[in-house]
Amino acid sequence: MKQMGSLLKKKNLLVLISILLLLLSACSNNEAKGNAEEPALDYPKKPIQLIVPFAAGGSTDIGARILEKYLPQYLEGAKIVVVNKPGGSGTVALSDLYASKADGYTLALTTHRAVAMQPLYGKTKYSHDSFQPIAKVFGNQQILVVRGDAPWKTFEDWFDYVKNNPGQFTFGVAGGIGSGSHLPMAELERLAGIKVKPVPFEGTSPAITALLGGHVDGVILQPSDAKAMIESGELRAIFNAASTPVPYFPDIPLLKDKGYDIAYDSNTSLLAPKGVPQEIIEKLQEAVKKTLEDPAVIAEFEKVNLQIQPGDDKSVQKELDEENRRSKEILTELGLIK
Amino acid sequence: MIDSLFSLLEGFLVALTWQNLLYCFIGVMLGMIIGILPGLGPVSGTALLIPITFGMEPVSAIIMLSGIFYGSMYGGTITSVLVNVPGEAASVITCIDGYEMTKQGRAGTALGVAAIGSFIGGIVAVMVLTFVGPFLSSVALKFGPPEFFSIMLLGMLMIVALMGKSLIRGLIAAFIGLLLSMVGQDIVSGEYRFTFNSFHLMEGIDFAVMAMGLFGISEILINAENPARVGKPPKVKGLLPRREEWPSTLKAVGRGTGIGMILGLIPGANSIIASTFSYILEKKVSKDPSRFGKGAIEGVAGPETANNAHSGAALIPLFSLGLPSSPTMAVILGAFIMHGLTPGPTLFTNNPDFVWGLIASMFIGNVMLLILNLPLVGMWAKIAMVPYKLLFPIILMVIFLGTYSLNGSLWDVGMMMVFGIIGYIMKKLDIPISAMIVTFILGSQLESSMLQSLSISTEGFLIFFLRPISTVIMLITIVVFAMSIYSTIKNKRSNLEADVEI
Repeated sequence: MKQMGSLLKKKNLLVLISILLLLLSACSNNEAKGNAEEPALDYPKKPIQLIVPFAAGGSTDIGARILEKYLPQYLEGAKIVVVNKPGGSGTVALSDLYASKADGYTLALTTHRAVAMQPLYGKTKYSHDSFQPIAKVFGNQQILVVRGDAPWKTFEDWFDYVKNNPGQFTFGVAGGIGSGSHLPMAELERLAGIKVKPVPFEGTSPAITALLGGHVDGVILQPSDAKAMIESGELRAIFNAASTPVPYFPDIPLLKDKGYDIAYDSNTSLLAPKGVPQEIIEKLQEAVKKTLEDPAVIAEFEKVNLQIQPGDDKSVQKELDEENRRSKEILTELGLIK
Repeated sequence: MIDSLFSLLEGFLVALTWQNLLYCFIGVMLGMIIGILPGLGPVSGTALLIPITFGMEPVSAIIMLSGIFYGSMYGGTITSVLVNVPGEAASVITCIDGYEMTKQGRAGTALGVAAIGSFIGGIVAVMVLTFVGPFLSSVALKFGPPEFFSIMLLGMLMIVALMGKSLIRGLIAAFIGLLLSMVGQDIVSGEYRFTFNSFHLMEGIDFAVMAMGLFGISEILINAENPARVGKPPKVKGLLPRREEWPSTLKAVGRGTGIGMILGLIPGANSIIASTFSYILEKKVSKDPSRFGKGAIEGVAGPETANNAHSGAALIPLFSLGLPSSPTMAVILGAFIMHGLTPGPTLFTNNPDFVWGLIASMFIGNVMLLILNLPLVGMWAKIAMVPYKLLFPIILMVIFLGTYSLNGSLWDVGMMMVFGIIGYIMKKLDIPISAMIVTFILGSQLESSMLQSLSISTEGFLIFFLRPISTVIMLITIVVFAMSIYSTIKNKRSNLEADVEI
């Protein structure tokens, strides 16, 4: 220490170095203390980036912002920063997650579809089993809505119309052709022998705008994105393409009850890149589990019409594998992939 | 009407509590700073600050976030005028005449006029729309994909045909802009285009990276080439327009307010369309269009007013329909929902305190911005007096830091430098940079609205001529284009273009 000081011959530098050393020793002291009490896991010590592969204001984003607010209460010292990276039906953001450091500071809250279905198009570097699931967070359905003043009051009305007018019914799909909101209708076209026209939009909001203006006849969306408009009668739901009814609109008919074997759920889970240390994964899982049990969190999710559906990493991966298998079959049958 | 007036007065009661005044002030200050910093725009600014608002009352949170939004529109002007670097997309147009005014020693006037115009545009837009907006917004829904396509085509064409020294040069710029807008992932098919398998290009080219290079770096290169000009910045003469300029300036402000308001009502219309249309309109109605591009005061007053009127008006579709009209609005919509408020027709009836409080706060925020800005204008304008040999290295430093801070990526810095060289070459060849950047910004929206129109259409491309609004806009577009070609052939462009009625 003294040698160095005399070598450099600069008093203030010496002071600086000694302060640094002091700080260092202080830090190591803390670590030592931590060691004594519990296993050494100095996580998180900097903000955690939570990537949302869709634009701000959508369901995934809103769910992420609830986690951003409440998760730090159960993950001591954490600060979560939501980063929206929309584009390519979620693949832009997930490619980023795939390429990110597996240190637990980059996570993504994403729909299963972006992970399980998009890689089937062969344009992504990642595949459905390239990530480390942490936990399932919430689920949602997909429904077809039309304007409140449209002539179709029931599924049957609508079905008669599209059956008798092939290629006339236009519907907005958020995320483009062959994306998750296109598939249920494509599947219905195949099973029921009807023909309708998909119109690609960048997101749900522009698609609803076009629907309200009468530029398209319908939109496939998640019920939470249109709850107020359905309640006020501006929009009307025609069918539900999921496996479960919408809790707050139990009357929307399920396609599978109408005799079509279609079940597209929209589940959303928290993922990390592969290779994150197991202790960090476990700590995150514990924190997410406690967060989703917090009555305040449950109330927040209810307020924004999202349905909490907890699940562990294994069940998430199982669902991802299943969705990947099923989508592969359908997309191949539809001729969208080889 | 009278009811609305009373509700507005009650709104002032909400907005004038000391917390809300403070949050409003913090919002507009932060917005101004975000606008000044190159790179950081209102979208990332509001998104970054949403988490801070969680502990706050919903009304205070939204007052602050909206303040950031319209505050950044003020801030973006400052760098455009002083150093030719647009702080956010809507200020691109302001660079054209604003920076020329600075070169003539009229930086103070340019900033002063921009502040006054922004104030009037912002206030009038909010006031008028408070009363008539909700009725108008259902009409605005008539704008579907074909109408968007035609209005963007018209905007691009006008800037191409009327901005540069020749139609051919304008078209060259537009093609480069459109081509660059295609880089990255296509939203319709998910296909990657022109990425050359580079990970960096997958998300496309960042507007800020491009603008800082094209405008900032190229300007420095051009000046460095001519040492005689370097070193003698002109003196700052006054902060207000000359007496004879007042009538035309105020008229430009009035027209800018109208254009900004109308375009702001249409969900999805970009604020750069408002400022472009205003600029072109000012050039059209001017007795001497040749002054534009050489420091015309109306070329600053009109577009600056328009983009602020637009930002005020853009809140109306969000309130009355629950539809965000721009990326920043989408972030604010997220904040609404986060705070348990559902924008849409029921918002006015269910949460009147909130809506009127916010509207009142926008009056207050705009007054704050004017009070903050007018004294600061003198200070900002002094920056223009710093000798170039000192100013340029500082600008370079800020541009480099600003670019790097966007994503912490050296690739961005390299790309910014490449755009600097491209900008330099374009200036040398008299190819209008503004035409390139406007087509770049609107390019992806132009493409997706065209593909949407074609999907809806049963008659192919005829759809653009079968719907009344779209047909009218397309016809104007064709007339403008035909007139430009005609006058190019006649080689009397500058005389004839003044006769085109738009």
